[in-house]
Amino acid sequence: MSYCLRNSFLLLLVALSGLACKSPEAIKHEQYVIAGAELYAKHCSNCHGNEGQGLGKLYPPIKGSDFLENKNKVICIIKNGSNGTVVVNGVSYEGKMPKNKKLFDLDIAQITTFIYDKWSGEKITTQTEEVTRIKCD
Amino acid sequence: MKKLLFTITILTGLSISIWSCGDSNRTLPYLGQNTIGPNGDTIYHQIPDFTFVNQDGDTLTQEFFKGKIYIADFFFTTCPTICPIMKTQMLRIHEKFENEPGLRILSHTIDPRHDSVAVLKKYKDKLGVKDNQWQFVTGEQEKIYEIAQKSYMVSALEDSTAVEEGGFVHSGAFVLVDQNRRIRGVYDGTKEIEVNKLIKDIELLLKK
Repeated sequence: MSYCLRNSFLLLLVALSGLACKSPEAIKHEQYVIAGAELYAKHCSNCHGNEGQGLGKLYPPIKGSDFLENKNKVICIIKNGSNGTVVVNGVSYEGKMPKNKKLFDLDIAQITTFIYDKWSGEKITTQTEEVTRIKCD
Repeated sequence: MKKLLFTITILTGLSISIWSCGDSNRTLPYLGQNTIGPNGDTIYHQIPDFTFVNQDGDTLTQEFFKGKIYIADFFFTTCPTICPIMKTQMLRIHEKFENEPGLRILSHTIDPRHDSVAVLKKYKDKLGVKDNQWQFVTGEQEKIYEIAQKSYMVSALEDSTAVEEGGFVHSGAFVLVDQNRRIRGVYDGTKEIEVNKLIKDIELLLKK
């Protein structure tokens, strides 16, 4: 019994040290990814799909999309919507993407962080201030 | 001894009931307002004759679906909410049964003012649907709403207060209709699990 207890204690210690080793930045990144995933499911996945696969030539994919090469463009399109043709991986997508007035800059930062974490494997957190300051044409 | 007999009986009963739950013996219900005819027979709810115009500008009637099973749904091309999910799911069905001559799909627009023949044609192409199995139809708004509500028993109506939904309120249902124009199932076309069930039910109906 004492052996078992000691083992559990050791395990707990290992788990705790694991937590403690995470930098505040890494913890913030994780929080943004989790919150961003929820926001994505609510506001984006209807059209762009649960797995970012898009839908035919009606809605562009996010996963594997060359659009991700320009993060400013990504933030701007979430912020302001788009009203013209968008070219993704050589395919033109017409129609408009609505601007969502309910999204705060923090939400957009979280969605962007989630998208890049999931589909680019990027561990850089998009900061709210970046979204606020960004200049879109 | 009595106890043993009892156990055996229970076990036999159980195994029979489990065995009969197998997919091959499963039957689908007849949905809708069934009535009793003069001879005492049940008259099942049926989809009446209809005339719409498809994405190629051709007239489409019940004749196109004669002797086939089909799935009906209601949508509009500019719908920002559930339609893309419905179309993602319907595409799964279409791709799974691509070469199945016994199955067809009928998508009605509930916004015929915007969704003209040309708009539907473009939508079908962009969705990547190349063959005739999946038809997109438009027509008189009244007729579409009437067949939705009275025959397929799903909701479809214009509602200018439903701004976020794009000005229309409609159900995301996929309605399964058999070879004799009777409704055999209604599924939530926005849920993958429900559509998995629909795929199973299609296979069941195709076997008969």
